Formats: sequence, C-alpha cells, structure tokens
Amino acid sequence: MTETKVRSISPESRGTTVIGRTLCHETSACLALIVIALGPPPPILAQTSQSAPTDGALLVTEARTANAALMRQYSWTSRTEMIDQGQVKDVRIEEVTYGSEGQLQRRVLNDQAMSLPFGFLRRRVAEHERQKVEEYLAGLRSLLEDYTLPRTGRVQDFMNAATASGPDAGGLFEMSGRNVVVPGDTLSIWVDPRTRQGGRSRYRPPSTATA
Amino acid sequence: MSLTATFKTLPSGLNHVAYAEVTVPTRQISIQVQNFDYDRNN
Repeated sequence: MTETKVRSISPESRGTTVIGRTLCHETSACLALIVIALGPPPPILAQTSQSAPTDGALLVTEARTANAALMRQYSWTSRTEMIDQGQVKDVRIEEVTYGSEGQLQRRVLNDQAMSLPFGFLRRRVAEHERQKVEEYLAGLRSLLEDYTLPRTGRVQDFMNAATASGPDAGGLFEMSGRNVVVPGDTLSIWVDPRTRQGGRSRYRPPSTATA
Repeated sequence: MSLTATFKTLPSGLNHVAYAEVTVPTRQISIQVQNFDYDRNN
C-alpha cells in the first residue's frame, strides 16, 4: 500500500466552512490533491520558478475520474470520533456504500450519542451537542473539498500559476501557487520526483485573515 | 484550524482517505475519521 499525507491549514474565520456532504465525496476530491502531487512528470518538477504545464490539470482530472469510478465499486467502514475539550463526545461507526444513482449512503452501525437522555434540559443539551457534531462533520468535509481543488478550473489555475523549486534537504520538490481557494492564500505541494509518491501539501490562509 | 489527511492506495489502485483529522485549537475540538475495511462489491 502507498501512503500519502496531506496537511492543510485554514483560517479560523473559515471555521464554518462546510465540508461536503459525504466523506467519500471529499475523499475522491482529496485524491485530486494527491494526484496533483504525484501526477506532474518529474521534468516539470525539476524546473525552478516556472509555470507548471497545462497538461497536468488534464492528468489530474482524468485520474480523479478514474478513481471516482473505481471508488463506486467499494463499500467500507468509517469511524468518526469527535473530541471536545479533551473528551470524546461522539463515536460514530458507519457502513458506507454507493447507491444506485451514485450517491453515498451511510448506515450507522454504532453511535454512542444516538440515544438522547431523559429530562428536558439534559435532552436539549444532548441535542445541542449532536448538532454541533453534525456541523463540524459538515465542516470537515467541506474543508477537505476546498483544499483538494475539486473543480477542474481550480486545478488548471493552480498548475498554470504554480512555481516549482527544490529539491529540499529531503529531496522533495515544491510547487506553490497563490489565490487557490481564497484570495491571498498559498497552496504548497511537495513531491518526491523519484517515486512520485509520498507527496504532502499545506494550505496557508491569507495573512490578513489570520487574527 | 488545521486539517491532516493520510491516504492509502489499495492493490487495485484505489486511492482513499484512510485517516483525516480536523482540529480547532481555539475551541479545543477535533474530529478524527478513519476509513477501513474496503471491500469491492463485484
């Protein structure tokens, strides 16, 4: 198995960002970022301070489409844990499948927060907690989607504007672009040109947005 | 807020998010998601 890590950082002001409705949806979207990291041919990455090729965006789009199609043939288990103030507030285990129309379907197998307590006040508190979990889950999925450039246009824009430099001490080449998700932001992707694997990325919010 | 995601590739070539975590330090909240037991349906 190949393992790749992606790290993104967004401004707190975007804390209400919505994350896609389904994890798998953003999963396939996230893959785009990986493909971006792994897809561009090494000669391009070896260049310094030059624009990436427009062909890269096409490669990304094709790879994402193929992976999305393959993903629909699978079902899997998803375990979601929410930790609030150091305490586990909710553990949700779901079976995830694709429906006949290609939509994600989630069936909860075990949810510690499913049963609400008796008593009006306690119940209201529990309902509030549950709503908070749902909001953060939605935010998580949207965040993933935003950071993985779900639209071809964004991929194209990033690759057109990206500059490449490196290698760094670890042999990785870096591609960086600005105004990727929000104006003034920066997206950097590190790629190992030898293996074209093990890429990582970091999203930096606009400096003006960080309070 | 920070987001970390770990991806894995199955022998079939499928890439998927194996682990994702979002943390909101200012609110001391984090959400961790693990995806596993991928099973091909056909």
